[in-house]
Amino acid sequence: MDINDLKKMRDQAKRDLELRSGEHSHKITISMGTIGIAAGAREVMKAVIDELAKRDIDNVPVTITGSLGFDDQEVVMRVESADGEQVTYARLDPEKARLIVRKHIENGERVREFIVGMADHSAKKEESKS
Amino acid sequence: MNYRTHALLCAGAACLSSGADNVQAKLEEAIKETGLSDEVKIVRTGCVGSCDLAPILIIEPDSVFYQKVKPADAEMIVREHLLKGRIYEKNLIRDPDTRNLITTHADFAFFRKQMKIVLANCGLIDPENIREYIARDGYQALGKVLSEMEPEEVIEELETSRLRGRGGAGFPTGRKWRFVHQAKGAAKYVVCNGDEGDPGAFMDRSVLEGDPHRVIEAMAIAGYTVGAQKGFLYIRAEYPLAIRRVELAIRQARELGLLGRNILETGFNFDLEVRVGAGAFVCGEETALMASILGRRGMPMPRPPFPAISGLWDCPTLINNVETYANIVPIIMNGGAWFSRIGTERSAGTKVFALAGKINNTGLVEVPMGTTLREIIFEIGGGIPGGKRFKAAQTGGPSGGCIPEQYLDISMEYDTLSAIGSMMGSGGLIVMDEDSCMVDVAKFFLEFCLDESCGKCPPCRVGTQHIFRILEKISCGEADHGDLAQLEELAAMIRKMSLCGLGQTAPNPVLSTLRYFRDEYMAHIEEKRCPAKVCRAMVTYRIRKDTCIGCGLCAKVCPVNVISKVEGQKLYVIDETPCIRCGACMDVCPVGAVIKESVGTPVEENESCLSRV
Repeated sequence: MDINDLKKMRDQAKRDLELRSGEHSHKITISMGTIGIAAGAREVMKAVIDELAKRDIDNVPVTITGSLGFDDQEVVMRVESADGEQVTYARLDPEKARLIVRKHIENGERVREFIVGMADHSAKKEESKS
Repeated sequence: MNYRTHALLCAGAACLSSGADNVQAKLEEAIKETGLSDEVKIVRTGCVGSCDLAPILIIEPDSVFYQKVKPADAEMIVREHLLKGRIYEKNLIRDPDTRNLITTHADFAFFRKQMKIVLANCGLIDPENIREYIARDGYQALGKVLSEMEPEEVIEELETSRLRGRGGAGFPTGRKWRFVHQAKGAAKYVVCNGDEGDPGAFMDRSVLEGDPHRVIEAMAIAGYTVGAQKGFLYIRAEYPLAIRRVELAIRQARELGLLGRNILETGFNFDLEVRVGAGAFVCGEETALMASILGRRGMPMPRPPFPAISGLWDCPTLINNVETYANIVPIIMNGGAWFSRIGTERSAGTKVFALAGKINNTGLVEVPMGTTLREIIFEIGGGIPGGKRFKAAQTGGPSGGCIPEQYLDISMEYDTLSAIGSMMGSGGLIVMDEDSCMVDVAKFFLEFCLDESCGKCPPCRVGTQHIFRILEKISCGEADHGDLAQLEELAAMIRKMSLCGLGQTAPNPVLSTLRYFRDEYMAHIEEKRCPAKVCRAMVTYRIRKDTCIGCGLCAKVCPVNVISKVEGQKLYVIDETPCIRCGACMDVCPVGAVIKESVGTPVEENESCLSRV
């Protein structure tokens, strides 16, 4: 192994650790309350993780949270970008979730037809200041 | 496979001894049961630092910090947090003042005030997996040094950094490396001193256990710089986990060609060997350490010649402490100038302290040099438990001295500590409150040195015996002013005439407590009174008539059966004469009726505690 091999090895290994220390472009939060689970939130999450892995996207942590409150519209998933923008998607299934990974995470286009809510926290803070 | 969550389980010695292995077994079981095996990865990390909260479990990427996790809690954390995304509040820390729950460790004062350079990887990566170290830019510094830097440039970088030896004396590291670099010899050696012996200090163990590759990489850099091909890690046998992880790390590094022949295909050869010491305090002294490596009895030699000129097998030998080596890689990666901007003018960088004693948050803390003792004890350490008053802090272990209350705002660095009669030492920091008797403290540390004296030179071997005898006399209330004068004379003599650092510094705890707490010594000598009510010969136990409920617990636990019931009353009394003052009755009394009082009269001669000397 020479120095270049070592660097290659580091770049590969880094992905694994990014979850603990890295900067994230987006963060995905999936509503995993009782109703969410019943509506298939676990399958959605697995699809998201799988799709991210397929596309070599390793700086997007996937976390879960208790019910987000849209019990009649589960499965609910929230995508938060580094600048504070939050987009909430609802009535998802694994295929729709994969589409969101491809469009929103990879290309930065929101998938309008699944959106139930949007909040821009960076903008809100600015407003409240003024 | 991408995992969405990493469960970082601290596998430092404190967490392991509080049952981290059982927690892990339960975690694995629960993760399997809930079907999360593909999503959650359990990582065993090195010491997180807050050892009083063991076992510790951190869930990433949420950064939630769970403390005192029992196997049953582990199951709940999996079912609540990992499965349903709800934080399991039972195992969160509470802010001691506001009683609010603290979720992430970044919000905990103990961590917030710290600056981690030496311990940057401890508690974050799996020390048994070289890939995780490499992911944190591991071995990049070695690659940089081997491919881009001349030995001279490495030394210059170290000199610019102003790094000083973290083993205690604070010798400039760059200068030491230069001496060995310039020395002529058939072969040269690099040694890591991992014989951490100060009672209460465990930062070296933590680094070796939590980030062993950091030390290995630094030793390889040292080998290249001074011209050595062989290194020894001297670790005491009391650190079996550290030895196991270092040996594993050496094997992993060899497999990847980061140790051994032709490292990183640059033609540089360097290999390491672990030498296990039997745990003698004197082997932390460099000449005794080398004797031990050579298979001789661990005894010091007069210097010069210094190891840099004539060390192992009479060849030039570089000896640095574990924490010193742990600073090398960040200095090479970020530059000496970066390092020298941290800390103070005379002491650059950070220092790891092992907080112990009468303090709320015990454990390892890393702070920039120049942080005040007050910040360490009251902000990071969370103050003294039970609302007691701070009395003194002992730095430098048995070789150091105490820092009294008036110096709470002292800047913690090498020279300021020496100036007030203490020393940095390896970084042990033992906090004492109003219930500590300074004569007793001095006696404790002196007894340690007396036990650990190797016996080669009489001032240390015989002198410490005599000092200890005088201290015993004082704490038994049998000393007079003549004894005190002799104590001071002997202390000065041992300091001056001993062969090595052990003897030269052994009287320090006595001298520094005498300097700041002379009145306490005088109370013992003149009034036969122990103000802190610690010295057994000078206290008496009594049961308060108005508080005693007559439960009889005290009589039950009394090892010498001197507590008896008062006929016809719900009341017990202690017969003072045969009482051995063990305090067991006080510990068990449910209503606090047993009280300890200072007395002015020593115990009978034939029962004197002196008889055991």
